[in-house]
Amino acid sequence: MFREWTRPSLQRRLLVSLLLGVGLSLAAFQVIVDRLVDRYIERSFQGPSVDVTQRDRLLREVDFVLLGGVITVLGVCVLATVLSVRRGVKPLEQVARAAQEISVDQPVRALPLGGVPAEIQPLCDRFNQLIERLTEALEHERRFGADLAHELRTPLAEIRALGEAGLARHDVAGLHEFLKQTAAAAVGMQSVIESLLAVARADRAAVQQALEPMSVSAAVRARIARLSVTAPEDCERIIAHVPQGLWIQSDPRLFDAMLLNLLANAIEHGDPRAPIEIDWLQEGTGASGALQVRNRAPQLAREDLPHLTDRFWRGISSRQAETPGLGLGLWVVGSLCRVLELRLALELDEMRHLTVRLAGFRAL
Amino acid sequence: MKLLLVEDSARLSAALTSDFRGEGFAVDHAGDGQVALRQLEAHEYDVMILDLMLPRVSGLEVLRALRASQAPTRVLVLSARDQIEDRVAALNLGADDYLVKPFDLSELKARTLALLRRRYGELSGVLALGDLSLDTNARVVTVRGSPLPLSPKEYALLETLLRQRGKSFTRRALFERLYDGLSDASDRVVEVIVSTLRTKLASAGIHALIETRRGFGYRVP
Repeated sequence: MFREWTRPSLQRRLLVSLLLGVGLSLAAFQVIVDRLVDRYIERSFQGPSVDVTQRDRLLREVDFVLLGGVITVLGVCVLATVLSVRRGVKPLEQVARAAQEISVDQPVRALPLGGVPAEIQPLCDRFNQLIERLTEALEHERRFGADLAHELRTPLAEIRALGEAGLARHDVAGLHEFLKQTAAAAVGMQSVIESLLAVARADRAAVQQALEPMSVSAAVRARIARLSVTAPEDCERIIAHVPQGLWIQSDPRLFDAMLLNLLANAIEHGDPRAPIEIDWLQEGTGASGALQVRNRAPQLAREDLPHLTDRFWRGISSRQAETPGLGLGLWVVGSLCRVLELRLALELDEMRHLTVRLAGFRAL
Repeated sequence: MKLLLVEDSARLSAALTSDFRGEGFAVDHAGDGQVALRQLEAHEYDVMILDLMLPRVSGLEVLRALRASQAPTRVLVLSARDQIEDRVAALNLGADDYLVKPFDLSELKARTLALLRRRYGELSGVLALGDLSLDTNARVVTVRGSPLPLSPKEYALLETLLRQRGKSFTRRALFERLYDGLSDASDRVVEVIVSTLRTKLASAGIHALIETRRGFGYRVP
């Protein structure tokens, strides 16, 4: 009980201050009035015929009346303070209740702002803004979850259907083709999972502290070699112009994830006969540089560019037409660029060549 | 039985097309909503298996257009979207069934066959005529209890004629039901299939089941 009372409380502090203030004021007031009354009575009762007992009784009565008045005023003040403070802090209780009710499954309602004291209004406003942002974020994550499920379900359905349909095949050539397609679907699924894991694990502060020297040409060569296992014909279209001996300060794992997504995006959605070019551009004095991937994207339009880094954007543009795919790849690249503090730029020229540029790599 | 598969995943389409063709279905494939609408205008399908997230025109738009055209095609929506509102939206727009990816191929086939039965107002999956019995679920034909081995096309032709007994089908109409739109075969192949089917039926003791009506085509009376 005592510990409870010693805890800081706005209500108790206000009450104690009020009691002290009003109490001291009334005590001073009572002393002054008491003195004045005493003097007046003494003056009124001066003379030989004065009954001292009667005078003293009158003095005591005046004292009692004054003391009673002080206590009554004090009591009324205390009651008024308690009620007004309680009413004043009610919105805070609502904030506490609302904060307690926040959960992933339950939508949170905004606080009603009618009748809220001016002092607490900014707090309630901020709380409502926070609730709004939180609700948006939860909705965003829910949508992401549903989209992700869709993105994973399709390759899973492919693998399952190819397996089951393959079991009914008796020709070796057909069976081989089914197995090849199953493996390709599994690679597609792996790519989705790895991309998402790369983004989920990438913490900006940790990544920035763990940057290490890496050779760009070696990283590009290694990526193309790994990609050629699943897409050998497409890898023949890749032309890399990266200077030998160029070293940068970066995260090799995230660099590879970005390059994989850029190349996979170009292979999957670009012109299948056109080359895919990888270039290194020097910036300014050469202290920094940009990695650029360029390919022909005949199905893209300029108005699509702002959406290319959106998650699961399926290509619905103002042309009332849809380009197939374009789901996660460039969103992953955009997310990793933010983690690595790089600048991502997308351009589409008249000939429908899409250029994706990652600028701001620190050269060594 | 003619089936339209509307699916933008090439791998999934390849697997499903191969499997349904193996069962004797004539399968057309559309990789986007626009192609699907063109296919629906050009042909009459018994069943359409429809993905929702499609390039160019969404699956729901395709469904809306189909229902507006009053075509009797039964629609099975095959989608990775598993939310209640997606199912409700598709069913409210006129879908007959909804299956979420990934799925079991045998379940997809069973549901497709169930839609076919509903399309022709059948209660069971067995079409019987005298000693002949055709089980549309097991895809087998028996004569007095003994199985009659038929090729997928012969089976499909017999099923088509038995499903709509009394109705005459021209050679072209039967060809449309047995072959997909990309087939480069001539519709005269129907005559060959009818001939081999008649021979097999006759060898099992079923004579004159399929009538030829000059100028009208073939029918099972």
